[in-house]
Amino acid sequence: MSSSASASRLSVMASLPSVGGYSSSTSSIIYGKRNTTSILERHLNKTRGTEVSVNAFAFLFSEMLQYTQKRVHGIQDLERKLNDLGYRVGIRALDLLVWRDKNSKRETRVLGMLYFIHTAVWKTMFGKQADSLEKSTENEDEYMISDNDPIVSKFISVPKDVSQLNCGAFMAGIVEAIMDGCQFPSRVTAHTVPIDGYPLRTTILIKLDKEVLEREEQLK
Amino acid sequence: MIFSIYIINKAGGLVYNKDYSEGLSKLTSNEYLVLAGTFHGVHAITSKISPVPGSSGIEMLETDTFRIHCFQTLTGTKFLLVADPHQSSIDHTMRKIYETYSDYCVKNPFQNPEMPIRSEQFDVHLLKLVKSVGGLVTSSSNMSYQVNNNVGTGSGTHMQNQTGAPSSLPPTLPNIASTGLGA
Repeated sequence: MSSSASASRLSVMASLPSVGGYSSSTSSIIYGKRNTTSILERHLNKTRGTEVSVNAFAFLFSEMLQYTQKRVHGIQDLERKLNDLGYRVGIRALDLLVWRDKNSKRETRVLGMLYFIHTAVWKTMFGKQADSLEKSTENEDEYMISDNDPIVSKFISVPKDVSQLNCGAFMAGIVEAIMDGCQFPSRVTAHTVPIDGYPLRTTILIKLDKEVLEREEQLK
Repeated sequence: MIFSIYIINKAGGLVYNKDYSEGLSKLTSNEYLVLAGTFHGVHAITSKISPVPGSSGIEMLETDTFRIHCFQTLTGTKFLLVADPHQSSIDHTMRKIYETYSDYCVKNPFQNPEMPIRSEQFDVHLLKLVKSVGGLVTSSSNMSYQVNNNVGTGSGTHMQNQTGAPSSLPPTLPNIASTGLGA
């Protein structure tokens, strides 16, 4: 009695993978008919230099924010989530950037690394260089990259009740991922620092880990 | 000159109103809502009573002293522009307002569709736009007082009846609604 029950269960389980296999083969037939290739099979250099519409990005980012906002408690949590989302973008962007640049070398010093983010990364992601790269006068381990008119918050007006929120947390996440990926672990945060004529100016604050500073000391 | 811009959602509720000319007599907040609701109704009626099927509804309402232009988007949102009869390139201005709306309201994650518009950037860019088309009148110029008196009567035909106090005679609703139906 018990053996027949287990046998029938086995046969059910055995039939499952074949069902999965069948469906995947039909989907590949559909792909073949429409003559489309999946984005994963396209050559990475094919999309080099192509641009995404700012409006399309704005709508996507807006939906990302609304989705995230429904699933968090408090502004800090929201910024952390945005940072996480940015991290996922940054880690892929770094891979692609290094792969595409035939002459790229590995940055070993902090300044070279930050300059790479300030120019190369900003140019690929936002189509322009960042507006300034500064070193904090108060703390040895802090650097700042500023963007006068960040694309991610171009169309966003933050309401009064969440005025501490800076949507640049997404950019901070990208920077953090790139710093991490290049073996410069650090904590990266975004702050709104409005100046005359640039009310949306966002400063990305990069706080390097102790080990990075120690290594920097040895390399001198 | 541009006197005011109103935005009415597809249900007929007023989601945004802004006056650009200083010195105009103000409506109370309730009157703004009634104005929006009434215009919404008039718009619906005018599109039905037109002898040509598929008509769009009222597009412009004209008096001696001002014109109300209406632009309805595909989604049913209406933009009302109250302007001087001599204000030029209204179509262009309307397009630009729609553009500003879609940039700073629709793409703003903190702005719920069909809800009152609270967007700082929208305010800023709309003001910039009104300035750029020469629609802004400051209180320092003499024109604004003249405008105040004229618009205060509701329509130019009652000029004679006007006494001293402009605030007692704001552009009242019955006037506007009846003018719309008669047009």
